[in-house]
Amino acid sequence: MIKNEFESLFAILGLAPTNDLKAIRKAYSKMSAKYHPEENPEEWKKIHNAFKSLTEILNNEKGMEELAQIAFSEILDTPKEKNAYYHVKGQKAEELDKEADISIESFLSKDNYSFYRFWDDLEKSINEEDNTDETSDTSDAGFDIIREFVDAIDKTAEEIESDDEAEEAFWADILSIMPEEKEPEDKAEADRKRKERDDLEFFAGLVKKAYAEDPWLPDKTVLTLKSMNEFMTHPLYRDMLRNSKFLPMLIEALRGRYIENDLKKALLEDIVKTKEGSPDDSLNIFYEELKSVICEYNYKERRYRPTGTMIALSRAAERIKASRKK
Amino acid sequence: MSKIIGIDLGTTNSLVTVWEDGKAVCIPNAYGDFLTPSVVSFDGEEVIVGKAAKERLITAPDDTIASFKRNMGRKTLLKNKFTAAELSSFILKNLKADAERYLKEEVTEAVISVPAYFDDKARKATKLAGELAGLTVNRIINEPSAAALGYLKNTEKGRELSGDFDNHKLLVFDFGGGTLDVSLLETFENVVEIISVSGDNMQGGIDFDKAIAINYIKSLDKDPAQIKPQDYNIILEDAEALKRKLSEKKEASVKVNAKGYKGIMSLTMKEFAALSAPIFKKIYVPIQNVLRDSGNKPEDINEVIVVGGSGKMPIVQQYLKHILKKDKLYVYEPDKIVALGMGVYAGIKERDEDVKDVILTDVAPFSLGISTVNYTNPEKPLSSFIIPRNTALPASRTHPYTVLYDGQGIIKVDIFQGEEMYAEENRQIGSFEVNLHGLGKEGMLTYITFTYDLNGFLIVNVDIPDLEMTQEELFVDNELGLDEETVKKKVEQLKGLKLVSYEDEENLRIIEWGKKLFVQCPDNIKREISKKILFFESKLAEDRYEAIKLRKYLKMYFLNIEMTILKNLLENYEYDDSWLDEETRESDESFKRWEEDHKNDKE
Repeated sequence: MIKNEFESLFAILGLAPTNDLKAIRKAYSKMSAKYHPEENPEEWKKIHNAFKSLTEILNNEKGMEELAQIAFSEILDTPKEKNAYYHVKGQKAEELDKEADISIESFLSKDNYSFYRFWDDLEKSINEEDNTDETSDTSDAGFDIIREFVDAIDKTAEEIESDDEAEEAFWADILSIMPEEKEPEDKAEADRKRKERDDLEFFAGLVKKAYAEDPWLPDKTVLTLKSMNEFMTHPLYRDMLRNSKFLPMLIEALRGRYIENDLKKALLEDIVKTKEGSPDDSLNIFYEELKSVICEYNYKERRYRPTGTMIALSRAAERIKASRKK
Repeated sequence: MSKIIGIDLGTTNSLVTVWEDGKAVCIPNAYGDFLTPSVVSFDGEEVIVGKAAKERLITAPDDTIASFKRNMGRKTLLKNKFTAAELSSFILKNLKADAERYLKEEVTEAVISVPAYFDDKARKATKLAGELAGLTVNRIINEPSAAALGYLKNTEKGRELSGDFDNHKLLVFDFGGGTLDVSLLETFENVVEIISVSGDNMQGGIDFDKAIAINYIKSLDKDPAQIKPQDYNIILEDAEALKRKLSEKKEASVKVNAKGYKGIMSLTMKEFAALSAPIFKKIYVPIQNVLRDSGNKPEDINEVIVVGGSGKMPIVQQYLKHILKKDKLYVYEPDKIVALGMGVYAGIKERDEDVKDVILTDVAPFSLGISTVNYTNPEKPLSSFIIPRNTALPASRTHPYTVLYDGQGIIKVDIFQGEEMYAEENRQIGSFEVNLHGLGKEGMLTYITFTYDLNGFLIVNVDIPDLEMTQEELFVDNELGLDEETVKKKVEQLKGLKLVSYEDEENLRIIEWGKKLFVQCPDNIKREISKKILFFESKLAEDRYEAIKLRKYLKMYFLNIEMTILKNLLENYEYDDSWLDEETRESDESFKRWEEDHKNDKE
């Protein structure tokens, strides 16, 4: 769905784009009463359709891509979200403080739900009526808190890096599928590698093409999965990660519906890790793409599971943003 | 604007309601009851409906039929003479007459409820039944949706629940005599949205009765397949009585008086639960379906509404609480709530100020699609779903298909409903052909559009842009056309049959009641009953006024016998007239005099 279509759905309900389900419900209820199905069935059909599509998009990962393109910045930067965060923090300050004491391993372990609960609460309070104190000075402070939160994630991630064991755990799955790198020994070897790289480019093109095509065909699905595995274990995988011209393809691959989640996660983490240090021009494109991938993750996981990937992504995104500002 | 009536056309009982002074009101029938049994009986050229007909299930089982709603839109019943739609039209006529008497004006428009799981055919048959009864049916509502509407807009608690813009999730468990419908809905403010539905239209309270009856027949070492319908109906009725008793006690017994099957039918709660285990297993399936389809867990449900007579059974409620993890369920007049919801809808349809803004949206209860070529096994075409189940209505979906080979003459569109992979395992609801006049080319695009309207009726449209060809089919059933001519013809046909008039109905019911008791009671008082019936009939022929006076006496007399039958005290039954009041005692004396007079010609 393109941007205009998405916005037109809101327009039918007489709304500006928002992720506030309650506002959408309110608008639908009002418009339906005005164009009741027993009186204006044709008109109502459109309204009902718009309502159904919007609620589906907002409740479902499928629509996230669209939303990411239009409303990513609005969503994360709306005063509402800030207030909501504030609200959560104000209400559950004690709990949050407690959470800060939790060790990193347990913080990231699957058995620890406190972090998940945080996302849960955040989302809940966004959906709630604005019952936070509007008069309080939140407009700026709220932003600080978001940043604070991101910083906290940064810190956590840094701590992870500084801790050998934790790092090993964190990146274990990535290292396990990555072959060790060897320096090219002579010119002939370097030529061979270059040739291989060209092959891989072709190969990556194929992968991309496979995704771009109809994903419903069963044999295609198998091909895709198989290719993905091969792709990730290819000796020149790391080279490819470093080469910015492969980036769009890799990100395209991330969007593939039929990639196993683990592979997707590993790929995502690889991209982030490799891209971080390099002051590449491609980062700008990368940032836009990354935003939507984060969004997808958020929604797919319904914000209950901020994985290591998410933390790393948030950190990377924030850093890139900061560097762009400069 | 004339009033619109809301009708709950149930499998076992039917009700009629109307929107009055800001609330839905049930309209009483000739007996002052709200529930009219959905039973039709034929006596020569006369049609008997309701309570009187229900009595005839025992006395004239071959000419009487109940639970025909299960076969709506399917086959002809009662010796292949009537379709379920025609039989339903008799009930609707009766309800219409009740409403007209109550409102003191003619009624021509109705909204009727159907089980959510009714297919296109059954819905059309219901609409046809309305038309045969002289009612325009502009809206067909799913029963669980009606129940939700009744609960949300006609009870204090419901209004409270749907008063804001928070999304509330409700599960409606509609367990009637013959059907089971489970639906999950969301509500806020004036909107009631059905999210997913599932059900089993062959599962109902009557299955408990059958389980008990068959268990009893087996316990006598007899073959349930061999039993005569008359005896079976008696045992079924006793089984129902036993089931009711088990709602209050942990152990109960009932005396069975069917010929050759005499004995005492007794069950403990535990045995009953064991007997009904297969039924509960089947009940679980639709509940699981709605939760899965809507992506909800039992914990997500804010409220469970229990509807339908069978929902009153404690064992059913217990089971629901257990599987839905709820401390309490909402049970409010489970017999009437659907009808009350229909009353609310009648109000909406009338555009009454109080409920004008209420929006009720529904979903497609099953997937609809067409069959497509299976290259691996051409014998078994595959299903291709165009409207997946639980799509919000009204829905219109288009799918592209291609012409198979060059020069293809026709495209045969077979329409199926159901979720199976192979088309043949689904239910075919229709089929039509598009003539390409040999102009088809391999790979030529053909767009097939299914439009499913608010009433659950289907329109199929085939569009072939390359040939500039479109064809639209409003799904007309082979047997039950809805075109005016057919309806007119049917109405003419049914005119020959006369509904028993209102004043005769009560008399008839007394006679039928007596006849039923005659069959059920032991020999020692059979003669007494038969004499009383004959006396009443003779009085009816001579002096109507006198007969109507007698009716009151007979009513009490039969009631007394029925109570005693239920108490299983009949063996020691002695006639005792101490319970009679003066007026009826007089009548009884007149009866005794008549008895004296006819003593000789009877022996």
